[in-house]
Amino acid sequence: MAGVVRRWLRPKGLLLLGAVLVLLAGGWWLLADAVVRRAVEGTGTALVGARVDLARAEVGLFPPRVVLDGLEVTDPDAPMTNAVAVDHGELRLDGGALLGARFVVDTARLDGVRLHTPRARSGALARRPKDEREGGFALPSIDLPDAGEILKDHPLKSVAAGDALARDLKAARAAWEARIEALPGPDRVEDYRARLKALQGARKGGLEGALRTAKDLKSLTRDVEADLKTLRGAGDDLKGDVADYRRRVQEVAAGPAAEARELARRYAEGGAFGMGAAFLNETAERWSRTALAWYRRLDPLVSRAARAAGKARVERPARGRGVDVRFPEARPLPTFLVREAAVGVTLPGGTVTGTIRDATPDPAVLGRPLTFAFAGDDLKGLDAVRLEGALDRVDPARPDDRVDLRLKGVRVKDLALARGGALPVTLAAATADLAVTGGRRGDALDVKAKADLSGARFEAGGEGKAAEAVGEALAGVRRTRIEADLTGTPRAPKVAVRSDLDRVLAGAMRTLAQDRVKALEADLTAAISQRLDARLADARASLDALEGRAGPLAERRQDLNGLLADAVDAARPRLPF
Amino acid sequence: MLKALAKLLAVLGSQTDPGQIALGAVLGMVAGLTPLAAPHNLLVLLLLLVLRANLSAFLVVFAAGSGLAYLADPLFHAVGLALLTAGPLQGLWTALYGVPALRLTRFNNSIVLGSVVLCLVLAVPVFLLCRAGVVRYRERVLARMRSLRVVQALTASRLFRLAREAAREWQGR
Repeated sequence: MAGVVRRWLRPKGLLLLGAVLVLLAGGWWLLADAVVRRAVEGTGTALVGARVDLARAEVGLFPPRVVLDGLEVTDPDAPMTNAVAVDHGELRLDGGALLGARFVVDTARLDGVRLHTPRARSGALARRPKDEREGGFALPSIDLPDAGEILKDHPLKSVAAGDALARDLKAARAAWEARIEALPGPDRVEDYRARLKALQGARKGGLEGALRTAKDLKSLTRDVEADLKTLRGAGDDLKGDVADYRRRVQEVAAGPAAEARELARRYAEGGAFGMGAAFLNETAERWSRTALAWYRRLDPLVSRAARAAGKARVERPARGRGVDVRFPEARPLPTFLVREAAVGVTLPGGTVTGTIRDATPDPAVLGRPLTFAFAGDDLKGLDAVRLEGALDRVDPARPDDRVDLRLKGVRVKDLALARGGALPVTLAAATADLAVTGGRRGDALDVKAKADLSGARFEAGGEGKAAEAVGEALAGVRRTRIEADLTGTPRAPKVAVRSDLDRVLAGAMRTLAQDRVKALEADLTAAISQRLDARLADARASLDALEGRAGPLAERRQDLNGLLADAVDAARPRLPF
Repeated sequence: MLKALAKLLAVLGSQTDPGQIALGAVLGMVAGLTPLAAPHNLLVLLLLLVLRANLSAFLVVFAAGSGLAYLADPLFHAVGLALLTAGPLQGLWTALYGVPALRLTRFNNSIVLGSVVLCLVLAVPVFLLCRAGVVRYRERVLARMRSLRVVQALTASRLFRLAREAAREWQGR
């Protein structure tokens, strides 16, 4: 037996194994902290797109835990500022899950979380192109364009109406010529006269002749009356047409003034005079962009490819490394999970505490969404804050994220609403109640924000009459409500802002604009009238000519009436003496 | 590598137990053909250190196996995937997958499972063949070579002795 043991076992090998194990343990002791620190920095930097620094990491095995000190996450849009800084964090890990290659944090505690802290050195990874939209709100020009410039390429409704009128009148004239041609004319009157004369000559034929003459006279009278009726109808129609066209001529003649008024108003509203509180759009868009950029950066942390449970699935294509087949688990766990994290956010006015639950990039495996709830009361400069919400990616194809943020009694001071540009506007002081509710369902955003400001004091800078007018109007505003709707998609958001300030500012600018708009209106009226004059003169001439056709019709009626009188007279019995 | 090959030739000609040489070759085959970073290779290392497996045989076969593994990966992948997706084995895999410590072995990777299974299947035949091969080599090839007059003359010559001493001195640096 001893021979077999000596033949097959190597006692020195056991010592060597011991040495290897000691080396491994020593390596762990020396390097584990640095490896974890590098891993946190590398992963964080890749996710955020700016430097993530960690001052110290400490890894413990019994119990399994990771301590992080001095975590700084650079704001990618402001490389000299940390978006988030965490003084101290401690993660308690699930040891059993670690054996299964799952990084599960049972409880996490993040203390001294601070927002927007200054950095000692830039955290930018690479120079990014400057966002041109950050240049401040450009005050639209107070000068209106001149009439010639406006009308240069502008299709005018008045001129088009004048052309249409001239065309219609020409067609109407031609139609009436044809119709009058077809009406009973002088030839017909002469014909009737000849028939009457013949009847008058035939009166001497005794009683039978008298009766036949009377019958023919009646027939003649009926024919004349029918023609008279036709002529009267045509006369009435002509009168109606002429009246219609006369009304249209008057309308076209009045067109330039109406169109000039509309154009002047449109150009006035499109410029400084109709801007309302447009500078708020810039602020709302800036905030929305920032919020959505962070929201998108969080995306890889809260969702990745879906994993259906209940069936073995091939995960990765084979190429030298084979494929991993995942099998259903009785209690499936994601590869990374923070079950519960207690977070204390240190704001200038105090501390807001909250909890984040079920943070994992595989919520489909966990079957529960990430939820968060934060609250703080009686803070300096803020009465109360409540933030609740969920990032629900349990069905990765249909994200259902919700947020409900309420800030009460926020003391606002020197908040730049429009930075730089021609109209810098600052909210120098106000007390605000803010509510942001909504979320994302599928790819559609639907977030509503509402801010009620009281005790407001606005300050507007800039030069020129428009800036002065805005400044004066804002100086009188003490209370206002600002509402914003965020729609569209996370990649293509749309922001719409409404505010009482719109009305106030638009009113102020209208007053300022009144004289300029009136002058522009007069110029436009003259210019449009000039273009229309020739067409209108043609139309009037055509109308006069058309109206002139009523005279011959009346003459024909007169002739026929005379003839009818003669016929009636001829039919009257005459005494032989 | 050449050094290990020379050592192996020396070992083949020495009195080293053929079983130890064969064991070194089998462990080298497992470490060489299977993914090196897979945790089961820690067990191979442990066996290599604790058992009297021949290190030269291990190194030579490990190097050869590592090169061969690139060519054999498609075969390992096919075998592993067939096993992992075989209906009757689903219960077994699912049960093993439910044990966190076993999941660390990466048995659910097609190449890991395919290569380990093929190595296990080949282990006993390779061990027996190697051991028999060493015995046969010593009995026939080595004995015949040593009986050749040319070899006897060469090994007895002063030049050979000087060359062997120089080689030993060079190896000792």
